Amino acid sequence: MDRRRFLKVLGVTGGGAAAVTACGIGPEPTEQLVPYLVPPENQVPGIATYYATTCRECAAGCGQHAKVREGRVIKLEGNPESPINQGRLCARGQAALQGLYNPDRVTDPMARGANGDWQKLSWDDALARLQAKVREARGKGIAFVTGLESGSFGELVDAWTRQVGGRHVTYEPFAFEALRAGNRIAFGTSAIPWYDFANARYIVSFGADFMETWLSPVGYQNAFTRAHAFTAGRDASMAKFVYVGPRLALTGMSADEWIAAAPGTEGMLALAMAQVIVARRLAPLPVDVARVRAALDANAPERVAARVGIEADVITRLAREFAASRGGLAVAGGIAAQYPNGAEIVAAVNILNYVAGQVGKTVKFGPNHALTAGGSFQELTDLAADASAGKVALLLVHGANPAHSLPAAFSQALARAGYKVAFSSYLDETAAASDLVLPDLHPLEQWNDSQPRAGVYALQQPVMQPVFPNTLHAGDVLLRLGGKPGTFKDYLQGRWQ
Amino acid sequence: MTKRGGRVGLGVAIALSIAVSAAAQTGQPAASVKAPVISDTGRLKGPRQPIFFRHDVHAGQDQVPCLYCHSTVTISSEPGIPAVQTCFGCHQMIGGSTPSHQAEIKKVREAWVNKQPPRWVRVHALPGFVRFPHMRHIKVLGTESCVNCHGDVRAMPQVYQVATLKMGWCVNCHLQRNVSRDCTLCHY
Repeated sequence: MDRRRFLKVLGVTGGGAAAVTACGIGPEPTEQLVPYLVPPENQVPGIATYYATTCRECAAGCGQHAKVREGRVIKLEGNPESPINQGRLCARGQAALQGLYNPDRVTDPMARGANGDWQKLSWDDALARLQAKVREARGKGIAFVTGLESGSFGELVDAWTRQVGGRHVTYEPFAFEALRAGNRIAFGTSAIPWYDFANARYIVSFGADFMETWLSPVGYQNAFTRAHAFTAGRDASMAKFVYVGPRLALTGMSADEWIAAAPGTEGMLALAMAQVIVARRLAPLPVDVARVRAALDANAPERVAARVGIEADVITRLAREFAASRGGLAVAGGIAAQYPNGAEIVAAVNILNYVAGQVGKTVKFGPNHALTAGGSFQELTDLAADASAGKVALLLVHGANPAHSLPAAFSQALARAGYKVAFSSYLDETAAASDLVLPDLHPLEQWNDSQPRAGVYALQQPVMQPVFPNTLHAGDVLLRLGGKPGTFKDYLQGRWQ
Repeated sequence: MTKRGGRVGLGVAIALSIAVSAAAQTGQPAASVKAPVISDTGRLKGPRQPIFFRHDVHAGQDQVPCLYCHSTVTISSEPGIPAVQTCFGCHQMIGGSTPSHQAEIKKVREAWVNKQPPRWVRVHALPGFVRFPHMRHIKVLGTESCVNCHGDVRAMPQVYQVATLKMGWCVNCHLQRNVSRDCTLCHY
C-alpha cells in the first residue's frame, strides 16, 4: 500500500468514526456477559426479587422492601404492612443504598502499624489481636459504645461485656435526652410516649421538627398528613397545626399558623396556655390540677406576653382553640429541647397536654419509642472521665461516631483509652482514630432484629450478599471472641425460639 | 485479508447457507445434521469467545433445545445465559471426542474448578434506552422463533449478529404483524 492510499483510507475511516461517535449513535462498546458459577435460588435474570427488612438509618425502625435484581439491591421502599411507616420511606431511608455501595467502605480488617499507617489483616489475625487485648484489659476497664440496639445484637453486647467485666454504653446523637428528662420532671417516667398525630384535632409543635427528623419522622408525617388533610366522609377533618419556634423551617412551613416565640420561652408559652385552660375551665380538669396551679398562675398570659413576644390575646386564643378541639396534641423537641432549659420546656408542654386531658388520648404511654432505652449523656460523661483517668484499657465502638458528633473534649478524653477498636464500615472520625478497624456488614447485608416501639418487633434480613466479601457481622466477631459456637444468625434464631 | 482468503471464506459461507437451507426445507433440524470440523477458527464470523463454544454442535447436531440453557426466556425480559454449573452438569461426563473439543471442554472444567466464569463477548446488545421483553415475543411466536432475530444459531459454529437490531428493523416486523408501534412500547 502506498502512502497516498494509506492516508486516504485513514481519512475515511477516521472521519467516519469521528462523525458517528460525535452523534452518539455509534455501536455500543463491547460488553461482556459473565455467567454465574452457580445460579442463586429464586433469581430470574430480568425479574426483581423483593425482600422485607428493617431500615437502620435512624432509631424509628421503619419496615423496608428491598428490590433486588440479579443479586444486587437497586431500590428501597417502605413496607406497607409495617405499623411504623405504613409503606412510606424517607429520603434518608431511600439513601441507605448509597451507604451500602459506598466505594470508600472498609473492605478488610485493618490495624494501625508502627508508623501510623493502616495495614490489612486477615480476620484470624485481627481476632487474635483483639482476643489478646481483651485478656490484657480485663479488670482494667472495657467499654463498648454502640448505637441504639433494641434487639438481639444489643443483648449480645450486654452478655459479652458482662462476661469480660466491661460496660455497655448506648449512644445516639439524636437521643432526645431533654425529652426523657422533661417526661421525668412532669410524669416521673423517662419513657418517650407514642404521639397519636392521626387522631389529633389540633396540633401545637413547640420546636418539634417532626417533618424533618423527630423520633419517628415517617410515621408521624404520615399520621399528620391524615389528620391535616381533608378527607371526604370524615366527620371532622383538617386538624389545625400551629408551630412555635424562632425559625421557619420545613415543619414550620407546613403549619397553619407560625408563632415566633422568643427563643427559650416556648415553655412559658405552653404554661400560659395551660393557665388559660385551667383558670377558665376550658376542659374537664384532672383532679390533682392544684399541684401545678401556682406554677401556672406565675405564667399567666398577661405576665409572660412581653417576654415571649406574643400578645396575651393570641395566647388565650391558642389555648381556647387547643381545648375546644377536644383532641389537642402538644409536642416539644427540635430547637426547643436544645436550650439549657430544654427539659423544663418539655415538662411545660407535658403539663399543657395533661391539663387538657390529652395524656392517654393523643399522648400514649405504653407503646413507648425505642429511644426510651437509649443511654444518657451522664453515662458518656462518666466514660469520658474514666478514659481521661486511664481507667479504660479497651474501648470498642459500633454503630456510632462519637469523635464526630460529640464535643472535642469528649473525643479527646475517649482518645486516651488504651486500645481502641472500631466496628465501622467507613473510615469515619472514630475509626480513623482507632487502633483496629473490624469492618461490619451494612444493615442491608446482615441479620438483626429491633423493637422500634414497645409491642412492635422488627426483623432485619440480608437482602444480598456482602458487597465486600471480607467484611464480617460484628455479632459474629463477638460470638467468636466469646468462644461461642455458631453464627449471629443462629444466636438470633435461638432468641426467637 | 488476502484475495485468496476472501474466496475461501465465501466458499465456507455458501456451504453453510446450503446446509441451513436444507435444514429449513425439512422443517426441523434433521437428526443427520452433522456439525462440520472447523480447523481454522479465524475465518469464522462473529467475535472470538473465551471458550470456543459451538452452538452448531450443541443446538444443531445434538439438538439441545435453546431453552435448556436460555431457560428464563419465556418468563423474563432476559433469556439468561447458562451458569457454569449448567455447562459442568454435562461436561462432568462428556469430555469431547477430538483433541480440539477436549481442549475447549477442559477450559469449562477449569472455569468450574477455579471458580472463574468465562467472560463472554456480548453479540446481541440493544442500547440502554430500548426495552426488549423476550418473554412477550416468545409467548406470541413460540419457542422455535429465536431464529427470527438471532438467525439459525443451530448452524453457527461461532455466533454472529444476523439482524441489524435497529429500530427500523423492529418496526418493520411490528408493521407486518400489525402490532403496536407506540413509542413507549419499547422506550420507557
